Formats: sequence, structure tokens, C-alpha cells
Amino acid sequence: MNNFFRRLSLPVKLLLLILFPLILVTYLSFELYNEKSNKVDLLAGYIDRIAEAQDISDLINALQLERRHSFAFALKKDIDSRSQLEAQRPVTDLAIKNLEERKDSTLKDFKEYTFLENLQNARQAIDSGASGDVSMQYYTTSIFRLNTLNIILPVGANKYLRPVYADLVTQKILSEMATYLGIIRANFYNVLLTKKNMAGTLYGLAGVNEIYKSYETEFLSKASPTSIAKFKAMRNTAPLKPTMDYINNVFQKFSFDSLYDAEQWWKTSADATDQLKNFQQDLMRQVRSTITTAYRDEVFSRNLTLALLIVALLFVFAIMLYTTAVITQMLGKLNEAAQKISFGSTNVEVRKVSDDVIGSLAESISSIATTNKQLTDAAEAIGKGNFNVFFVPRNEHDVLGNAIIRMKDNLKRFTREIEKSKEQFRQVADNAPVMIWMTDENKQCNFVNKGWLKFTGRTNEQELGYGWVEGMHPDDYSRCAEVFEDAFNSRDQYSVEYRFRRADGTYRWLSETGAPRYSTEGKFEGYIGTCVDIHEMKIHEQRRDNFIKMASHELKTPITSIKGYVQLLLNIYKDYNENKSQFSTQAIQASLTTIDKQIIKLNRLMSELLDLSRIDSDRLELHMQNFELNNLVNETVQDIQQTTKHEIIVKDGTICKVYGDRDRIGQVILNLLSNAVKYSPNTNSIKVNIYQPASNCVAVSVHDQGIGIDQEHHHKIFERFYRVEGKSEQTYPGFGIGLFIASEIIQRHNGTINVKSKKNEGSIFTFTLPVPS
Amino acid sequence: MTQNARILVLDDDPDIGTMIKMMLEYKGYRVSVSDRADMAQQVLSKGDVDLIIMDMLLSGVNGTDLCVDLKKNPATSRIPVIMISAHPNAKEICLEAGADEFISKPFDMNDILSKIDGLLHKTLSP
Repeated sequence: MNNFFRRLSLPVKLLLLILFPLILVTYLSFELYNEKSNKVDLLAGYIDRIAEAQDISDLINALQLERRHSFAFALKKDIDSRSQLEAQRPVTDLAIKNLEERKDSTLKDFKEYTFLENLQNARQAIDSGASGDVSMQYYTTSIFRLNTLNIILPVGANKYLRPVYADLVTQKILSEMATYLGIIRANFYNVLLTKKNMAGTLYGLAGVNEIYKSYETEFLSKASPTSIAKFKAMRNTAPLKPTMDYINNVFQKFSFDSLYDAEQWWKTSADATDQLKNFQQDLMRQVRSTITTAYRDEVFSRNLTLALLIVALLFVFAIMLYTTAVITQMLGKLNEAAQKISFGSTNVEVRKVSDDVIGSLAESISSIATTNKQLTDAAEAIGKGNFNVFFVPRNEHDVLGNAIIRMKDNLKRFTREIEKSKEQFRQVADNAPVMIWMTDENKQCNFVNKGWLKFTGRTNEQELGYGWVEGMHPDDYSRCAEVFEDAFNSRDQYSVEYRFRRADGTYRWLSETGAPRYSTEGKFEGYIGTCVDIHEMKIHEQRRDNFIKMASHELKTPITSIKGYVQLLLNIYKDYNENKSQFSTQAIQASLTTIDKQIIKLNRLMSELLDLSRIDSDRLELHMQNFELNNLVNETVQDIQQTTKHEIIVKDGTICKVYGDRDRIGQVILNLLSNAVKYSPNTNSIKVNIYQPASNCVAVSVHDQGIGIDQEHHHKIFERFYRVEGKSEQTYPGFGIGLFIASEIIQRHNGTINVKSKKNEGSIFTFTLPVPS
Repeated sequence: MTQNARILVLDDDPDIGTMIKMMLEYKGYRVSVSDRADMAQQVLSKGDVDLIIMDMLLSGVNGTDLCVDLKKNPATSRIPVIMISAHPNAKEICLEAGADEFISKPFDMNDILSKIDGLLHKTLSP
């Protein structure tokens, strides 16, 4: 039951709360209304009964008058009496009829037990001349009987009848008194008229007189003060006073006197009786009027009560409903606020409207919201990195507040550590002599280091995302994209080489290595990689490859030549032995000369290779000595002059002495002269100049009118394996390492070597050597 | 009969050209030598060449390009071409360019003579 009540919703609970008192109040109201209605019904019943009593009283009066006129007619047989009797009878009949028409069970068949069934017989007997006694007896018995029906006082202490109680009782007494007075006066009239049976009548009436007096005593003791006063006034005036005085006088003396004759008495006593009757009727009317007023008041009171009850019930109900609604609404607002808080909102406004538990609850919720707001603001500020935000936990039990303080301290420490770590990473990345990049898990670049930006000459914003792709050589893009995609999808490490645009607009070969990177939790976060400029190495590699190809070709050429001549000689020798042909001295000499020349050429190539090897392993030995440069130049020119059509002119006005390896310097001069011959196939003049450009050095220059060299190649032709190549270039035999070796030799003598040349305008190669101290 | 055939030798190295000339003349062929492709055109225009021996690399123009041109031209397309080279992968390139035979350097004298003989027999035989 308890659980059932708890599970009910709040409005239902509140309604149940008011339902029981409401039912109680309704029940009590109903009872009150019933009580009022009962009183009204009771009064209505009394009014009915009083009306009935009045009807009975009217009938009694009618019968008394009819008895009076019948008695007078029986005695006098005169016209007056007869006509009075005739007039009275319809009045009596009407009174009977009125009583009969009352639909009241208590009066059912009243005529059977009040002798009124015999009224017509009595009347016929009177009309036929019956004596006055007969009529007196008949009507008196009927009146007595009717008087007994006039009973409306079942309870003496009925509070509703208390205001009319005295009048109700006394009107009946008055009615009895009138009846008994009627008997006395009728018998007195008979004696006064007939002058007979005086003593007998007095004996018979003494008791009646006593009964009348006892009724009078009863009246005086029960009547209201007003009625007593009225009765006493009536008793002391005519017609009642002379009538009663006469009656008292007669019974005192016990004899009739001549104060009144019969008719005088009849009249006076009739008036006295009527006076009593009228008094009784007045009282009856007064009772009826009072009780009707009381009835009306009661009905009004009952209806007023009903109306007030309904109004009160409605008011109570309305108050209850309003209270229920207000409580529900207040709790609803609190619930709404609490829900907002439970959903995480801090923007909650709750007003304390009442000074009770609900108001207190509102205050608590408001306080939670305020606290949440403060906590949120603090957390927000801390989240934005404002670790100086002012926030103090309310007390040591403020778990959340203390947690936020701890969170702030931890975050502050972590942030500092992260900043430090980031700074370290930045320093490492920026100072690393390589280009470093990172991507996110969607292949988009999200970091490049300073080295990268320095290389590309672009901004960080330009490179992020896919911006960096713009720098890649279009011919390399699809190949690299494929490598990267494959590695990325399988989370493999990869290496790839491609050309990438440098800040100066030239494409440089880069070697890129990338590897997947993972968080400490093992979550894939993208790739990290480095790019190294391998351009020089790449070009060097290409040149080396070309050199090896070229070297093998160059070595094969003299071997091919030598092999061919040897086979030719073998053929000649074979034919000679078999006497097939003549011995051709010319062919043999040409062959052997060429073979010798080719072997020299082969030897020179081998020497160059050997020199290259020595230079590479830094084992090029120099045999230093003092010698005259002019002699060396002239000797070398003389040697080469024999093998070429070119005219080599030496200008050696200055005698230049140097300290160095004579053979190696000679090698350099030979190389420069050979090149001059080789690269000027269409001219015939080569100039050699020996001079001293400064006091501390001497110089030798070789000037040809040959094909020349583009400016862009000038500094490269002294590098190893470098050969001027191009579509329009003719191919020239040789390893292309002669100038490199020459340069190395001169550098080892602390000299310099350089070239001045323009395409198609010849070249001037010059080397200098220091003057020995 | 083939001993009187006229042969054009094209090689950018004069030593090699002279060596082949001596070899072939010793065997009785009539030989012209040039180290330049444009000079070769002059010889060819006279119309007295029965066979061409040429190096893959020539001064002025690539030997393979020249071979393609010769084989395209109806006037010269029937002349057999033997290409020689010291390069290791040259054989395929030369045969693709239309050469009838390929000989790698250094070559054997008997080998080149038998190939010349074979080709001349094929073209000069009725």
C-alpha cells in the first residue's frame, strides 16, 4: 500500500490528499443539509397539522352555533331561530366538507367516530319537534369528540414548537372552556325560559362548572404572559365578566334570580362564548403565522446553508486544485532545472519563491547550478591554458573543486613538459641538416622543418596539406605517388628518389625515407620522413657510370685496332708461307706502326686510369725538383708537333723556374695541348704563352681557336668524369679525365688552373705555379 | 666476283677505318673510308657501293639513324649493312635499325670476311 502510494504521480497524490477531507466535508454538509431539511419537513408537518386543527376548530365552532340555534328553535319554535338554524347548517356542512377534503390518513372516516354520520337524523329529529335536550346532547357529544381530535402536541418539549407551544396549548383550553361554557349557558337559558327544574339543572351543571374552572386555572398556568394579560382584561370586561359573575352568583346561592331574563342571558352568554372562541381563533392564527414564519426562515436557512456549503466546497476544491497545481508547477520548475543540470547546462535560474522545503530545494538547485557554473568557468579557463584563474574549493569535502585544482596543477605541469618537449623537437627538427616532414593519418602534410622551407623557399602554409606536391618534378610524380601509396597502405617504411624544385627554381635530386609513426598507445598517426639532397652524388654516379661505359669503349678501340692489324699480319704471313701472294713490306710497316701507336695510346689510357686511382686513394706521389718551365714546355710542344698538322707557337719571353714534379707538369702541358688539338679540328694554330702574371707565380696558357666551351661548363670541366655533352657536340675519343688529373696535379703544386672560353670562339686554358722562394 | 665488290667503311676512329680498309683491300675489295656520315652520302650518291660497314657512333650523325635512312630510301635499301660497335648492348639496337649483320668490337678478321662474303653472295647472285 505504501509502495503503491509512493508510485503514484505527485498530482494524483495531492488530489488523493484533498479527496478524503473533501468527501468528509461533503458528507458532513449533506448531513447538515439533511438535518435542516428534516427540520423544515417537521415544521411543514406541524403547519399541516395546525391547519387541520384550525379546520377542526372551525367545524367545532360551526357545530356549536348549529347547536345554539337548534336548541333555541327546539325551545321557541319561532321564525328567527328557524332562519338562523337554516343559515347555519350549510356553514356546518362546508366545514365538514373542508375536513373531508384534507387528504390526511389520521382523519380517515372521522365522521364514523364523531357522530357526524347521524347529523342528518339529528337535524330531522329537531325539525320534527324534538326537545332541546336532544339537540344539546347530540351536538355536545359530537363537539367533545371532535375536541379530542384537535391534538397536535405529541411532545411537550419539541424545540421547533417552543415559540408557539404556550399558544397551541392554551387555544385548546380555550376551545374546551367555550364548549363547557356553552353547556352551562344553554341549561341556564332553558331554566330561565321555562322556569322549571332549577335545582335539578344546577346539580347537573355543578360538575361542568368545576371542569370549566379547572380549565381556566390550567389556562392561567400555561398561557403566555400576553395571553394571560389579554384573558384577564377580557375576564374583567363585558360580556365575559357579567356572564361569569352571574354563573358564579347562581352556583353560590344555588338559585336563579331575575337579573337576566332568558333572552338577555342568551345574548350576553352567547357573546361571552364567542369572545372565548374568538380568542381561541386569534391564538390559532397567531400560532399558524408564527410557525409559517419559522418554516419560511428554516427553508431560507436550509437553502442558504446549501448554497454556502456548495460555495464552500467549490472554494475548498478550487484552493486544493490551485495548491496542487502550484506545488506541481514549482516542483516541475525545479525538476526542469535539475534536468538541465543533469544534461550539463550551467545556465539555470531558479528563484526561491517559498520559505519551505520546496524553496530550500530551489536554493540547493540554484546553488548547484552556480557551483557548476564556477567549476565550468574555471575548467574552461584552465582548458584555454589560463592556469592563473582564481578558483578555490569550498572546503576539503568539495571533491569536484579539489579535482579541478589537481587537474589544473597537472595540466600546468603537463603543458610545461609538452612545451619543453615541443621546443626540443622543434630545435632538433630545425637544426637537423636534413629536410623533415610529417603527415597525418590521411596522408596530408602537417609539418615541415626549417630545413625544408629553406630548401623550397616557400612558406609553411604553402607546403602543408598537399601544397608541397607543387615542388615535385612532373616526370617523377606518378612513380613516387605509387611508392608512397603502397607503403602508406601497408604501413611500411620506404625510400624513394625524385627531383624537387629548390628555391632557385632548379630541380634537385632528393632521397626520401619515410616511416609510419605511432602514438604511445600504438595508434597510427601518419608518416614521418626525411629528404636529403643527393643531387651531387646522383650526378656523380651518373658520370661515373658514363665514364665506365666510355672507358670500356675507349679501351676497346685500340685493342680492336691492334687485333685487326695482328690478324692482317697473320694472314700475310700465312699467305707468304703458302706462297700464295707477294710479301708486302708497305702493309707490314703500316700495320706495325699503327700497332705501336695504338699500344702507346693504350698505355696512356692505362696511365690515366692509374692516375685516377692514385688520386682517389690519395697516393699520387710527386717527385719535386727545381726546373725551368720554358724547357719543359718546348720539349712537350716538339713531341706533339710531330703528330699534328696544327702549328703550335710558343711565346716564352720570360724564363720561369719552378719547383715541382717535372713529369707531372709535363703531363699537364701535354693534356692541355692534346685537348687544344682535339677540340679545334677546323683550325691550324695553337698559341702557348709562358709568363709571370705576378711576382710570386708563373703561368702557362694554351690558346686555341676551337669549338669553345659554354660559360656554364667552365667550373665543371675540371671535375672527374665530366664531359661536355649535347646533341650538337661531336664525340671525341678519350676518357674525359685528363683535365681532372691536370687540375689535381696543379692543385697539389699549390697552383691554379682555369679556363676562359666562349662557345665557338676558342679556349684559353691557363695554369699557374708558385715561384720557389 | 665478290672480290671486286665496292665497300664503304664508316668509323669515327680513323685508325679503325684504316685497319678495316687494309684488311679488305688485302683481300681484293675496293674500299672507301670515311669518319663522317655526310661524306658517306656523297659516296653513296655516285651509286657504286655494294656493301656498307659502319660503326654505331659516327661524327655528325648517329649510325643507327643513318641505317634507318638508308633502308628507307629505295635507291639504297638493297645495299647490305654491317654495323660494328664496342658497346655491349648495341646488337639489338643495330638490328632494329635495319642492319643486316652486327659485329662487336674487337672483331675477328675471318668473321668479318665471311659475313661480307655471305651478304655479297646473297645480293649479287642473280
